Amino acid sequence: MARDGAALRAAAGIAGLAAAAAAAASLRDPLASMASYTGALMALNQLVPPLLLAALPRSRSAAVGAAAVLFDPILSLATFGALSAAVSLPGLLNPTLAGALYAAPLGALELLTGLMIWAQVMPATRRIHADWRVALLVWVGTLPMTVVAVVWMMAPAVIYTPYLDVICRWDVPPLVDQKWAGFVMLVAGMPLQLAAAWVLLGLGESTTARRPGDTGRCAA
Amino acid sequence: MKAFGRRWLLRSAPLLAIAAALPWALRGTTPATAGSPVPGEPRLPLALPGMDGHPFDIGAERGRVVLVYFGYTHCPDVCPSTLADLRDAVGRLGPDAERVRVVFVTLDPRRDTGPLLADYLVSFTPEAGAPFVGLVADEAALAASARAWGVTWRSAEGGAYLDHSSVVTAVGPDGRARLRYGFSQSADPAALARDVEGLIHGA
Repeated sequence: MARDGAALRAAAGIAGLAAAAAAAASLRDPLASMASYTGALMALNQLVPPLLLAALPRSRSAAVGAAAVLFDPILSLATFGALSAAVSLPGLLNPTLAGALYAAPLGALELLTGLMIWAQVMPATRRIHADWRVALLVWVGTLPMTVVAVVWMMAPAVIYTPYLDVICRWDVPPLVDQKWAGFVMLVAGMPLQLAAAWVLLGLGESTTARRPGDTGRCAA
Repeated sequence: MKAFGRRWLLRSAPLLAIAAALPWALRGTTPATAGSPVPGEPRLPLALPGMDGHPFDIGAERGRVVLVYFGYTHCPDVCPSTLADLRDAVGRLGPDAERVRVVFVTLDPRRDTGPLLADYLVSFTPEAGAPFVGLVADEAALAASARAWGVTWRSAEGGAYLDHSSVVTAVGPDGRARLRYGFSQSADPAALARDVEGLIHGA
């Protein structure tokens, strides 16, 4: 049984690394559509993190302990929400700040913040025991991403320039490309949003067994 | 209780820091130009045959603002709308339009012959100022120029179309690349015209 668990963790880790490599390669295409570029960023943000975190053993290893500060729930909430909004709506930002942000490796930032928010959910790194607290944190944290996705889908003009170049693609006009990119982002954020809403609305059984004396407070 | 309060204060520090930085982070300064400044303001080479067969050299355009765009005539939407925006911007300049040159470099020299390019650009002739200049280079010269100007492209649908970077670069009267415009930046002809006037008059 333990061997099966180790094999599953290894498989998750390999799948995560493969998905990360594929997404990183996709980000290097200078003529990628906005939708496929967003798809690659979302893969790094929402697909790769749970796979990599699933590869960690549940025991409190040294690596998990060292990541305790990085995966602090409040820090994760703030960083994930802020980056989601800043990367997707750079026009809101001070141009200097937006320029600096877009000079940074966006794929790595998306992966980092994705790991931070998924760490609140995955068993090996989760530090809040009460399901409703995790659900609330995840729901609030991913809300900016959902809002941005809807803005991209509804906007009457292309809004992500000048920080990302608009590509002249033969098959999709820039505004339509932006709408598809918004749809990709919406779909990518949907699993966490729906799961969090499900728990908050009390529609599911608690997945975390309450231990004697568990008050629901953060363990840190 | 005090320890609990201190702990939450510490853990809330990231949120507090973000909240404190919001007034600066959210639109602290407004850009002076609609176009994005070109880092280093380089002198980019552009010496290619024109659509009339005569050579064009951007070095001979000193004293004028030159707006350079790479595209192709079979482009379904972005290239013609960008050229239309450039026409509208130049049309707003009045007498200063004489001090502006719009240069269209075709990325599809196999199909965009000189006469075809001339016919295509006639429809974008501004009310004032000089007609647009079309450049048709061989593949090697085109590749070298496009690389220098940061333009990438590739064939799509068996060569019927191209995918390409869509950027207008504004070169100042001193021959230096000063501003670049993505699709949505050049879509505001009034703002583009203000930038060009600023370059003409040395702002």
